Amino acid sequence: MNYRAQLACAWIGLASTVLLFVAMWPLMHFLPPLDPALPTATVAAIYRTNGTGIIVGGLFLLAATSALMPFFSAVAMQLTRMERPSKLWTYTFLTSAVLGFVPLLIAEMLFSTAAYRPERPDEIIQVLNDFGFIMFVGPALPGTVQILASAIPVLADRNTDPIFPRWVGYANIWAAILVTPGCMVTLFKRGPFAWNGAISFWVAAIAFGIWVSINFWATRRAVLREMRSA
Amino acid sequence: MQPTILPRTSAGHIPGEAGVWVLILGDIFAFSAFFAVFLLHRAQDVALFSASQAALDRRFGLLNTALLLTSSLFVACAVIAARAGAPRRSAQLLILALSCGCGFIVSKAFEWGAKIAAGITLNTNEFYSFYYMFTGIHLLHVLVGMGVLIYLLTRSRRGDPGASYVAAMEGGGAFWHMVDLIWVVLFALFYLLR
Repeated sequence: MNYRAQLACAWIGLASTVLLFVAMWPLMHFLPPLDPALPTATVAAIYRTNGTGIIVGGLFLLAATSALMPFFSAVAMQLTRMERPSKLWTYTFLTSAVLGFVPLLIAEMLFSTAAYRPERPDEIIQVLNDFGFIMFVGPALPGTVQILASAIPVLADRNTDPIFPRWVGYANIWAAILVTPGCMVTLFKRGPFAWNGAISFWVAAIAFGIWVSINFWATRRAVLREMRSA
Repeated sequence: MQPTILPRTSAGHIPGEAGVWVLILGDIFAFSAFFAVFLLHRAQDVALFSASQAALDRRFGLLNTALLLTSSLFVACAVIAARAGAPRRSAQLLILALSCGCGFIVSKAFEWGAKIAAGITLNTNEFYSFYYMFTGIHLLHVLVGMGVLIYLLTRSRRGDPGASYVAAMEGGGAFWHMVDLIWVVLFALFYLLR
């Protein structure tokens, strides 16, 4: 088996989460995300002054989300070991990962489109910004399904020596619940449930970060154990 | 005189399994963060929050609290019955607990319905955004908890509930108590806080 490649993919997941942060914070200046209640002219001015940062940061975002896919595959390898011979939750995990991360690519392109022609009228830049952030935070539900699909096989694992410790399954359910409120962003322009809100953005982002860290750890541990017993 | 050292009578017992407490404590932690956010926002506009709170119907809040506390009692009795090796009795008690859960959902529907009919919706003001969202997220927990209770009910009715039956009852029961606990705090924050 390609254990070393699996370990590398697990590490890539951790690295791309850091890269996501670098893209959002020092480059795009989107941490915290732009306030949805900002006046149109202010939004346009941000895209005109930090256009290059937003476009370059967008490329980092593209790289980070793309690099998460090998990580998800490394986790999926362990999920199949748990639910063997069925692959039900592994398939659900991988398809939802794609469904959940495609909007992030589109969001990145919307941000870049807004910065691409800074001479456009303010309102058009604002539309692209709104669309970008709604795409970025709003499609939380595929994430909920994806993370739940990483919880069920852990709890249903019938191996005598479980692949992941059972508490990881419960922690994953917890993370799945906490990424969910992001789906409500279109209802709010301010407060904790708006796209820059404490609950829909920060809690969800932190829960996702914790989910990546825990599952990186559990995947690495499982691969190393499999390697030793092989 | 030497102090008498009493021998430990119990090795310590974690209800359910250790892992389920990651979810329960994690959820309590998340809700604590939600409540901190609520209190921070409230501190910025106490007058608005108090005025909006006065429009809530406390009778619904009280009814919901009574329903959930009663259901928690039924669940606790069901766990005791399961430990005593009486799964049929557990099943009956779980049905009573589930009925209280259904009552909670119906009462919530009437409460929300009355508010919406009065023109008070999600974006009426900040207080109501919190009110609908937090009680909504809590309602989602009630639904998940009822799913867990239904699972425990089917297991209690099985001829042989299996070796992990008591642990499953304890873990599921602990989750239900957490849903109850969060409601009690929500009730205090939204209906009673002065």
